[in-house]
Amino acid sequence: MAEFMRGYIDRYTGSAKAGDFSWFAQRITGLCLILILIFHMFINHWGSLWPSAMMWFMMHAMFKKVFYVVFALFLVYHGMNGVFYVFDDYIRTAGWRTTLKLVFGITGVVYFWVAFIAIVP
Amino acid sequence: MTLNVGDKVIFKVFRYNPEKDEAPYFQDYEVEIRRRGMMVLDGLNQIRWEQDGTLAYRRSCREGVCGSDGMNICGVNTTSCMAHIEDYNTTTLTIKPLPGFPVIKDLVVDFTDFFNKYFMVKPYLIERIPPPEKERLQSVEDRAKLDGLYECILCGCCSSSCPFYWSDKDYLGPSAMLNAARFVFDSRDDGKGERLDIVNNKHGVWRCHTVLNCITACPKELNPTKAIAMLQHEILKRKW
Repeated sequence: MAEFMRGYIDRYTGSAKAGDFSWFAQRITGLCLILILIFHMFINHWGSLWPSAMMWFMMHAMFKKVFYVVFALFLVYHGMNGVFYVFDDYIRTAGWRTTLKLVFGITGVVYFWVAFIAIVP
Repeated sequence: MTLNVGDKVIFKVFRYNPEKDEAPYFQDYEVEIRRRGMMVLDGLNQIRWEQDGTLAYRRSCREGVCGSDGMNICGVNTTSCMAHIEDYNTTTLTIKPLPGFPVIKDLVVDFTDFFNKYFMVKPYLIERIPPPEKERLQSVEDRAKLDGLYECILCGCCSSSCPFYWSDKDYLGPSAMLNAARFVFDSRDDGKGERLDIVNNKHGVWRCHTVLNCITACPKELNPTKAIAMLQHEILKRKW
């Protein structure tokens, strides 16, 4: 590799520098959130549109708990990942970027924990 | 707007000489329409040859092949030799250097980083087997897969129009990735894996947020966003 290319190779090599998982997961969680939101509307607001047997299943406590924990998990992941993308795009100082990611990451974990203890008493 | 021979158009040109000027400024020049269908490059040549020999800009083939004269005309990146003065529907054209690149002088920008990123994706055929005695054969179908990828003239208009190329100095940019795709989808190439390893990076294909400016900017009407999506698809297919 020519001398003028020095420093370029390190920037684009190493699996730790890939962003494929977060990119893919962002889209999958986004899609799931749309479906979950529609399902949430059926459970909580449009119940009369469903057959009673289905409604009983959906209103079952265990199902609802699992459903809303997954909802909260996807919501927090999607939101935090999106915020991390914004930091990567617009904050050029590595120190500030790491600090903000840490603060928002902890906020996300706390948010999920609050949601978890509210859903699963 | 129709411009007739003899009409005058104002070129408001970005000027900056880092050795003399404290800050960039715009200078107005009057360009005379001397024939129908004059290009912006013809206007710049008229200025340089007849009015102000200090104006700096790049040009070479003057027919959209060399990619030397990429610049920002009335807010849109394009090559000046492919831009008709009439098409801008105004009598005042604002001409600036490509955004996001360091200015060397006037409309001349530093392409070092742009070309290093281009070289980074290995824009050449990689073969694991000895070359054949005659040409490397390719079916008509395989050749057709390269349409829309091989025509890039490296003018820099696409990368320069991308907001993430401006904000992330490590972002490979649409041009480098279009050229990576040109070889990844070439049936004669054996370097697909190593190229995908390079673009599979948070400063590579995953930095593209489909702003689509690159499509608007490309004077050859290519679609770098689609090429990036094709690379993303290949990476995900390979991994999962």
